[in-house]
Amino acid sequence: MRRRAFVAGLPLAGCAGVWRRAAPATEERPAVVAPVFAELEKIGGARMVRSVMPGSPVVHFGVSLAVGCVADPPARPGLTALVLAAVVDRGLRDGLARLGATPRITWTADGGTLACACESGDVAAIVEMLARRLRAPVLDAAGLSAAVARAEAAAAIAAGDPRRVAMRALDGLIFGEDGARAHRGVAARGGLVGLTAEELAAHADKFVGPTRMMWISTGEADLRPAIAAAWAGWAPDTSRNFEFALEVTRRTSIVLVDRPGADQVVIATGRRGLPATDADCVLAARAMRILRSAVHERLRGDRGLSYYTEAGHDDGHPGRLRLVTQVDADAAGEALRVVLWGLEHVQELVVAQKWMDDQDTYDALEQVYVQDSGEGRIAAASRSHRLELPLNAPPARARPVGRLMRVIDELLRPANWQVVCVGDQRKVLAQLERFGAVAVREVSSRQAHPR
Amino acid sequence: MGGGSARLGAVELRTLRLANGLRVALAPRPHAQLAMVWVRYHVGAADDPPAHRGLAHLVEHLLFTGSKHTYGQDVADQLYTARALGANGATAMRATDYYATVPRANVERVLWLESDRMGFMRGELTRKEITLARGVVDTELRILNNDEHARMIGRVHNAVYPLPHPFFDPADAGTLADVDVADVEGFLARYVIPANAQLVVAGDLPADVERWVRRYFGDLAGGTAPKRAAVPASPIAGEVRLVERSRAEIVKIGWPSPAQWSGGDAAADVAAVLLELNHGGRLWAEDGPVARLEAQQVSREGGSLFVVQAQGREGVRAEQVLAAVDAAVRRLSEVSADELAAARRMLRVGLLEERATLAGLVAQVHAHWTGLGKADGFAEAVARYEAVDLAGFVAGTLTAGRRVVLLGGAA
Repeated sequence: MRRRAFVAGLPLAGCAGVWRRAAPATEERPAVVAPVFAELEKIGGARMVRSVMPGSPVVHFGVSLAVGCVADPPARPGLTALVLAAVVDRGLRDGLARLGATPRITWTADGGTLACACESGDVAAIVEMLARRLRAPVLDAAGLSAAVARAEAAAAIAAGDPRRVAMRALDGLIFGEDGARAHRGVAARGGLVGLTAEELAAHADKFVGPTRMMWISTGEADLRPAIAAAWAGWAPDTSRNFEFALEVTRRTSIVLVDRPGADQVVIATGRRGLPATDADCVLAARAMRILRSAVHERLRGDRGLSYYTEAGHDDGHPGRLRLVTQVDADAAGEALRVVLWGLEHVQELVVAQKWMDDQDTYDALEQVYVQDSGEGRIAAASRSHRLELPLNAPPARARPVGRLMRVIDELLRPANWQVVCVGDQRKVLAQLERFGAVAVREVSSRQAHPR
Repeated sequence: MGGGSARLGAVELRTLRLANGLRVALAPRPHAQLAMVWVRYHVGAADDPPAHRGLAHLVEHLLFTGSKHTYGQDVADQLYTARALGANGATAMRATDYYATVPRANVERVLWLESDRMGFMRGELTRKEITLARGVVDTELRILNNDEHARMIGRVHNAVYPLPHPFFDPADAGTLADVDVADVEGFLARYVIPANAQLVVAGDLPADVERWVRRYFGDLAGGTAPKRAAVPASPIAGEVRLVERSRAEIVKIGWPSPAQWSGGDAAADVAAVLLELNHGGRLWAEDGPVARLEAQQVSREGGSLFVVQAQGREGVRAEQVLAAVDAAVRRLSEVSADELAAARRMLRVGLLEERATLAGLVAQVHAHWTGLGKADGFAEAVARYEAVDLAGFVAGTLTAGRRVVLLGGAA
């Protein structure tokens, strides 16, 4: 209980109304209706989805490609992401700009999304531009050189961000350095050097086609005629399907990526998660909320050591369980102790069925909240497309706490978790060695993206 | 107690001014299903006392520890009970914000909570809470220092606005070491008061929302809005050069630029869009030394920062990148009417897109109220892009004679 202090002269503090002294009632289970996505008839093999946002002054639309970095040739990490980047060439960017639209590309291991917002009268013209460009995402030598340079520049920026360095190293431990999921679509520095326009075109031809596309719009207009015109005569080559690369699980260890001079350390821990289609994914996500809450409370609330602790079950086939925090270097040992404590003791925490019911409510509200924007709707539809999930999935329903505890028991065991720390080894190594053997990796310009 | 209605695009906007000085805007948007409650106080990092830089940020954290009538329950617990989403606080240079999005049935709880921390925080804080919050703030500030690019841009910013300028960003919470309960109480009494705040509630609003606003906020003592000290201009004269080792050849340039909502501010937005858009590849060669270029006008009341960040291709030196950026900036004065029209349209679509979301709508109302003196300033916000003096902005602001250049690379 907090200390109560009397402050002389505090205006009205002593005469607040009854209504001031008692918090107003809240509704525990407010009902909301999740946004609805209507699936229209396919056009040339491409899925068409509409989720109209009444009253919006702009229309959002996007195209989702259900092919991600798992399709990258081993020698060309980042190539599939580059295909989508190449779609937005100089000509397309200038054409979109004339209509006030800015293309945005998002990328995950399982696919990418290219999205835009524009005024409603311009949708058909923009979709036609985009569809034609997707049909033939070829670049001339200068355009290819610029696209590769941009990808490499982005890789260099990632190498300077300790959180991204940590997640990259953690993925390497979980999925194997050469596993297809490990680089998650980010170009390795130097990995695209010497790429030819023919290589890019061949890769695009193999993986970018209507059968892997979902077009999504928040407006009323029917986009199908424009798309049909752009893809007329295209025949999908179903023999060119790819398979997920074999994943490699490594033994548990602590890896320290040395960043000389860093005065903080990022601690990332994780393990392979569940496939996105597994019904227990929602429980895995809730398990991570519990773990995050326990760790965050002890790191920040009790000790004031960290600003953030983030955790979750990330989408994928399979997904990834991860918890990441960042503290000053002199607190590295203490923070790792709390993280490992969380993993060891999360099974002992008592979870009430009411908490599970609360989470159901939160999940339903969250769905409405993130889809308040057109961008959020595009992302939701694209996710369902990439991960082969139902488009209008019903909100998660209450499940017995016992099932949650079994998921926790199966997934949250420290022995199965990899640990990566990114910091100055002179400051943190001794602290980390208290918890086991530590393998130190040298920092280098390529350390964020080892091949 | 004044009142009035105005249109903000498709949104009906009702504004009130309570007797204690609190400004209130209610913006119904029933389709949203949720409602956002956002309180802004007109105090930020630039108002920190020189001896306690970071105090506004520390207070922002402390306002989450619970107020008089939450009886020991912290704000996070209260917000959880209200089923709040995206709830947080943020401290900028001249404003501190507290916001949460909730189902309409729980709007009353959040209004009560916000009113309680507006009027009943004093007398509640302990030394231990201050110490813990200071540790968290310190760690938060150091996070930026550990990201190579964030650290470099921080150096540029602080070289444009060096100590004792109020915009200088501390890299840690060192000057907060001796902050005590009395310092925080003084800050609360001066700044966290109705007369220094504005409240916007938008979305799926309950029928009683206005009555609740009046009930919970109306009886708080308003105080007197503090007179804001004018922000001095950036003291730099000439070009300041900084050097840093980095993995890539990088150039980051910062210019002191016109304050938010001034004519020059709109020109700066247009210039930033044009530099990034690089229409037709006319400003900088995309197969030349520059691999990637980003530009932004960081608009602020009292003085802004125009930033260009560029990264070189493999094998290119930072000096070559700088020369290419300088050439691109010079060419800004030569852009065609069509290119200008495209940039304006992109800015307009961006503003429309922003206000299509609840958070964006509320952010615009707050910004327009503060900067334009009216809650429904959307038309003015768009119109100011029509009359920009781009050549004047380039000649007057983007000069090599008054800027900070950071060159990063292996050397």
